[in-house]
Amino acid sequence: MAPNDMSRIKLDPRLAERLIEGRAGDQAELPPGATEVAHVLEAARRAATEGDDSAMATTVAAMRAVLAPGDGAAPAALPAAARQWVRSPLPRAAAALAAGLTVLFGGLAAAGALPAAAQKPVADLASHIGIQLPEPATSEKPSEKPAEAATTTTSTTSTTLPTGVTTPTTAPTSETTVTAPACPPPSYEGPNGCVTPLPIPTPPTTVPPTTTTTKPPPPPTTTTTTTVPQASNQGGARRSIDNG
Amino acid sequence: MALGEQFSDVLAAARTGAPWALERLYREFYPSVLAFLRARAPTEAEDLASEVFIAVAEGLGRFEGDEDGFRSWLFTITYRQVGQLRRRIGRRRTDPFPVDEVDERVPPGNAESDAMAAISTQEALELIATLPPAQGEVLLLRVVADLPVDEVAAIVGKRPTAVRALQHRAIVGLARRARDQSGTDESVKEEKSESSP
Repeated sequence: MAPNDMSRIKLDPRLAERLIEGRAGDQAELPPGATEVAHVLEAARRAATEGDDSAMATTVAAMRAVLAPGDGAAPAALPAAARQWVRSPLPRAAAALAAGLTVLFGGLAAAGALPAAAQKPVADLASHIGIQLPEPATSEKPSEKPAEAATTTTSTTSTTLPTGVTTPTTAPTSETTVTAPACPPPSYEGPNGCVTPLPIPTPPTTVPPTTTTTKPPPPPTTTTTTTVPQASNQGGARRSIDNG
Repeated sequence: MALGEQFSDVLAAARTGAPWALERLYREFYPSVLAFLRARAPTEAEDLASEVFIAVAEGLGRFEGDEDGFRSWLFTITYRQVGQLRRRIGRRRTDPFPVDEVDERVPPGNAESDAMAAISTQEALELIATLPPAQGEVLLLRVVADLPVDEVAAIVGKRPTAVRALQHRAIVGLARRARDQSGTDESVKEEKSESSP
């Protein structure tokens, strides 16, 4: 500031405070330069009271979005973004794909058509939830013993999908040759057929004597039914005999 | 127009997001915030003012105090917003308003006081914007935000004596600018009268 600038206004702290607070007083008594400052500060003070509602709607909406986000107070851009997220086809496509794969693999597993490496884990997994699926081909090895009877079984499996939708899956009818056991236990195979072993006699077991107090049975009750013949009938019969 | 005794009710309702309460706070405090920002960051003033009120909403649940305390807290946020803007664009002053342009916008008058008496709010803010940043901010916090020296000192992080010194220099500088401006108006007027047939 140039030295002559300071000479233009004689400013003491009290006057500065009065100017700032808008209490300049009579302008005729103010030192040179103070009047202009008073006008400038007065105009600045007016600016702080000039209403400006042009931005009120957007500002209040933004404040509400912060204070009550779930109260429909979000700015316009936010609901649009939220709606766009809901309308996205990705979740539906993913759900449809998952359901399709479940049905496909469920059907193949029920038919035993999966590769052995996949069939066994699937069958084991399904057995935990009560679904019996065919075991892989390793269990279908021909028995070392010649099968005496071949049984043809027809299996129909109902598979419950893990997605919560129960889709009855009728597996293609599979004809499986199951080797029946040679002889039902405890029989064993003999040269001429099944041999049932005789039961092994077991020695009698000694039971320690036990004292049992038995009440005598109550005396039998006799019910006597007495039939008294009616006198009129008897008299009548007698009369008919006499007449004849 | 201060909220007075209604302040606590307005504040409680504003914390719940009540639109009427937020509008009361907006109408009461937004003009002074915007005036402060128009002098410090004219081109960013409205955006910054919205950011200030969003920050107020974010901190409303933690605020404790009366209306004067709220005003001080509000301008603390405003002051910090200007500081962040200043750091974003560098250490230079935010949108300094050249004095020459101010001179052209001041309506001509016969005397210096007449010229300053007719000054508009926008012109006054633009003239304050020509002050060094620390002086301008202290002056605006005292005049526009209507805050006492102690609270201004707390906001700007200086001692009250330093604030008084800053506001003193701000007023002296403002007087010099007003004189220069009025003198320019007089010279322009004389040039116009000489050039006219």
